Amino acid sequence: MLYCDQCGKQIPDSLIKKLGHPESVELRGEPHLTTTAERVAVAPPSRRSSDLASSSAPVAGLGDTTAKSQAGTITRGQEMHHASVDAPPGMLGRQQRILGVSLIAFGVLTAVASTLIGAVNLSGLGLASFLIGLLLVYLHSRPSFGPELVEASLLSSLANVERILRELGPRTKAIYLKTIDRLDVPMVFLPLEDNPAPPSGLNLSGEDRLLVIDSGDSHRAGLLLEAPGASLLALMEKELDLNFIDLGNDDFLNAIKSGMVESLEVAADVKGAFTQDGVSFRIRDGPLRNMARSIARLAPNVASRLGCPICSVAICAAVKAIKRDLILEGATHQAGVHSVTLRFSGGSTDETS
Amino acid sequence: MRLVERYVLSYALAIVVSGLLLMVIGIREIEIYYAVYLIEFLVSLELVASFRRSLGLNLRPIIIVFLFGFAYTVAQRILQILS
Repeated sequence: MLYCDQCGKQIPDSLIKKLGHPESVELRGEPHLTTTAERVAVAPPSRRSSDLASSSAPVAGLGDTTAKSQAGTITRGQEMHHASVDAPPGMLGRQQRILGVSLIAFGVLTAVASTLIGAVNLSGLGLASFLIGLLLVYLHSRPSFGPELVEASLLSSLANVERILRELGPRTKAIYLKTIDRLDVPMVFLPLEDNPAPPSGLNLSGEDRLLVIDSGDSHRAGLLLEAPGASLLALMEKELDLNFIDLGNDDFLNAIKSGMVESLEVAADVKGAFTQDGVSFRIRDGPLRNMARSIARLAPNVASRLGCPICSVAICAAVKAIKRDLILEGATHQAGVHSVTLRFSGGSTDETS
Repeated sequence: MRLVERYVLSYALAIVVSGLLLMVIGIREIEIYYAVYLIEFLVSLELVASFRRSLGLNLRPIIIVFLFGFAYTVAQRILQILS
């Protein structure tokens, strides 16, 4: 029997088995999960990890633990991608500034000319040109970043979560925990026990640890992670100027669609269905389709078991609005479409995947 | 098309159409053009800002510039009437 030196609780056997060697478990003075460095470093790089290294700049293989080796994984293609980030996408770019300045100049010239020749009504069009030009120049001054940069900044973190899930996470389904307070960050819980049959109300609001251990209740032993879409949800709420906790079951689906399609522009379309058993979403990819594809390929456990950040936004919003724990039955990413199925916690279906 | 691009294009279309319309009906006062353009700007911004609050906040300096311009034209008109 091993006990956590910090909280005194018993460490479940299933966790010790997952870590491989009991002596590698070191919880004294370390509130978070600790495992021996050798275990990570010695593990041979899998095919997936070599994929990570070859196709994603900041992500190194499992054996690569130094900053130097990570820098070495940046391919020429990735460099080209990063270089292209300097030019903002779409209409916003250098051309926009040139167009804006041209319209301002045209507006001023038209206004002056119309005054000189006495055609006052022409100055109205000159004024219109001036205002559009002003707007274009001003909007250009706002920084804008390409989807490649978003993808590059996200993949390393998700690759780390993928490693944690691969090393520790059992094949159980993730439970998105309900939020009680308006300011609560949506959390997702991965039980360590197979088929834990979690209760309808899994109260982990007081926990602030990655690895939750409770010898008295096996349902409460598992990984407690911040939902991948929690930050995006916060941004979406800020942009929409609302809090999903205030919305009812009828309103939140429309709000999710407005937020994801119009405010964040992370999806082209969102279709949601609310039933007695749970909620399902069908999200069509927007400008971040390459990012979603990369996540599904490079971090398959994260994508299918926690949901990619895009799926996770919708799930977090649903959890916040419904105010119930939701079990992620499945998240699939195919042909630019995310399909997410959620079930209310406390149902009768088997919890293992 | 992105939300900001749609906003700029729809506003540009609106003020060009309304400018031509005002020209056709023979309006010769520049302050009327300005007032119409300003109203269109504020209405379109309000429609977009319901989806993206940050855009409304970002465009606040432009709103202030537009309102100063409007105040200037109104003051000019008042002085013209008084004189």
